[in-house]
Amino acid sequence: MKHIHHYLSPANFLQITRWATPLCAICGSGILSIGLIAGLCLAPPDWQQGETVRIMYIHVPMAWLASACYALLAICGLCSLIWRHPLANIIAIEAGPLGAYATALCLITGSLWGKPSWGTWWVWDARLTSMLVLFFLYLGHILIIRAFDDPIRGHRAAALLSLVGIIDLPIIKFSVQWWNTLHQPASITLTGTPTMAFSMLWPLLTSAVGFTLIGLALLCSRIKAALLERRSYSLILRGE
Amino acid sequence: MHFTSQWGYVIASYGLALCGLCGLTLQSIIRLRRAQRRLATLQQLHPVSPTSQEPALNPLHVEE
Repeated sequence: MKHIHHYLSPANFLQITRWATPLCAICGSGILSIGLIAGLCLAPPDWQQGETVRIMYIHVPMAWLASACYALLAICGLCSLIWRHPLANIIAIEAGPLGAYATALCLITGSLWGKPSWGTWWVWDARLTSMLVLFFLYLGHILIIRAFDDPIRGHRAAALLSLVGIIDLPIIKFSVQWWNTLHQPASITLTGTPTMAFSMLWPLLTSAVGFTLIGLALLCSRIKAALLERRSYSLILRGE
Repeated sequence: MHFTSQWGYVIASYGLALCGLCGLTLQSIIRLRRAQRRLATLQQLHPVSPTSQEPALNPLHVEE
């Protein structure tokens, strides 16, 4: 815990972002380019879905990123409520829009995939609906954190929302097992062997790593900007 | 690789993802540059010693 507090001090965090942001951005761009080009040109089409299976190389990483980002929001909410760590609040403010972007893109690409595969843009399927709920949770978090005149109250309300909303993550994960859904079950699990051909698996994992690294770079950059903005604000208050 | 109607959906997905990513990246870069420029200007107006323990040097002071 002592080490975590050390690295989460603003000065140390700014030092970490100085090298972590460009490193994640450069590595992420390279890896993502390889993943997306491989997904678009090298990976084979599916025997049933044809070329539309290539949407998977965007859709699945976005779904993973959306869930991971919400888990981060919930961890930040917990840190904010228990330790009142101000950096947790800043991370929560900056991670919210990134998570909302990932969720929106997951829903839109899912819709674009659903039309040629299922014959419809949208169904009120358990997986799709729980993902839509996640998007609304992100929107709620973004709005509620800025809704109060007193920022501390806003952070507390947003932290509570993120902790309550975490229940949606297992629902998203297990919805395809608990209910009869149009959405296919998971092809990749942490414990089992992937049910996907290696020629499709490696571009998927590569683009997922690429999107994650770029997401980290964007998050670090946004947190750094927020810290600098607060420092400027402190200096303005000091000058008055 | 001949073009089928399925490719339209694929290209739309890739285009959306890349446009969104470019937008987010551009917004982050502009915001960071603006914050750095504003801080540099303010530090010239209100110089503080680097070893100072004043709350103004702590970027999270406002939150506390």
